[in-house]
Amino acid sequence: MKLSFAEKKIPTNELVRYSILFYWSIFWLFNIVDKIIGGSLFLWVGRDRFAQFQKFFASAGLESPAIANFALIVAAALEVFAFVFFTGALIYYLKKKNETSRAWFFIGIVLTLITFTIFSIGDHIFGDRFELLEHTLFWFLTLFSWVAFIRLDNSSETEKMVINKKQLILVSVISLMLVSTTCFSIFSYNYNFFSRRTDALVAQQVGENIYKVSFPFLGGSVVFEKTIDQFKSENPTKKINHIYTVPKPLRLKKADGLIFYIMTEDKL
Amino acid sequence: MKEKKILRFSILFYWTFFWGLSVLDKIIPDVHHLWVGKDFFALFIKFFGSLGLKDPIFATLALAFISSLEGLNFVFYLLASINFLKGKESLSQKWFFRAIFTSITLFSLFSIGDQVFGDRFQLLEHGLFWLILIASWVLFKYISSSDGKLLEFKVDKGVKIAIAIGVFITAGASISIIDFSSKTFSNVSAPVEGTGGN
Repeated sequence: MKLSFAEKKIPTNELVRYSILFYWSIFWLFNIVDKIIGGSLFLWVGRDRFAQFQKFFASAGLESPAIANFALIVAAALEVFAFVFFTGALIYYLKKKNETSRAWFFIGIVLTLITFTIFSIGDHIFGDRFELLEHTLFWFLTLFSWVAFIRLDNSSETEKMVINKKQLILVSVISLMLVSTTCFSIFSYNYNFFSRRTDALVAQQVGENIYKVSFPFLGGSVVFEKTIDQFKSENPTKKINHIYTVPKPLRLKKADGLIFYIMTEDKL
Repeated sequence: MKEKKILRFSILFYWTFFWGLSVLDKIIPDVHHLWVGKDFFALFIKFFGSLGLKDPIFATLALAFISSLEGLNFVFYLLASINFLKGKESLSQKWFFRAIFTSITLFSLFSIGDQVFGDRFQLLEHGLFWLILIASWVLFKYISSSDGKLLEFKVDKGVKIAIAIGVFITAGASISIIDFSSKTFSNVSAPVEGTGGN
């Protein structure tokens, strides 16, 4: 089997065509894996599509899980066949059977367009405007991928991926410096501040029986639990009445993490 | 069938349904059985209320105006699709241009509204739709004669293997989906259990 990768120099056009075929194959493969897994596992979070479909259909008055199952299976079948045809196109392209690869890629493109069109119709029906935008963008990317794939075939571009030695050394040195600096900064931050993920916070008194707690960005639910626990042990004469979070519009966008107030009263 | 024709039909089909359903969403204002949609009336009321125009007549007039434009827009797409199906490609292209032009006008109006009402996310959304519409027109018009190739697809050994693999993976995925559904469907109404603590 003669693989085009075996050649030392690949024209840039071919590299981009490989990238397009590879992207769509991987895109659908991971979508299928996500459907097969269903929920969250160790090393895979994914998205619970069953729950999403179930909620969508229930909102339209169709509560039976059989309908969500059926819709999910149809979507999975379309995705599976899109994956198979894109992967076939990639294999034929690697074998330099360009015309067969083009035909397989085209079928993959049509299946992908059908999938996103159906999803967009669903988004209208279920009123999910954000997903409508997402699916329209993917629909457009699919069309654009086809046009780019065809244009790159017609182009007489023969540029090879060759970079001269001087530039290569310069780029390597600058990259190495940037990578070292970045890695040092990241590891240093991890070493010094990872404890913020779980450390209890100090409640600052801002008024009579009012205490303010500001979360760091790294803080998780353990911080909340430990903070409440610490507050109770530090203030044995106080009884917590309410806990309020600051309304979102009052927070300074990303400058503020979660802020909450503990309202107390004196124990009798 | 020519590849070019399939792609052109995909573009027309997508936008015809997009606007057809958008119009339907305006006709069905609330949530009904088999239709959720988006409550544009409530959205417009809130937008105009935030400007200090609390009288619902302003939101109603604006929504009626936008919906009328969308209706007109949908008719253009419908005519483009019908002419395309009848094989009148030149006429279809003319109607499609009118439809695209109306659509980009609509999204320009939406974008102006987003700026006035300060909704930056919707501004991004409408800007992206606007860009995709223009790109759709460019793709529709300039899909070159090289894309006019007949779709040559022989059902050879490779295709049979692909179909077999596809059916096999689909069957596997279906079993997994049904299994996951039967295990988790009870979560819809099951009470949440708290974890221990002091």
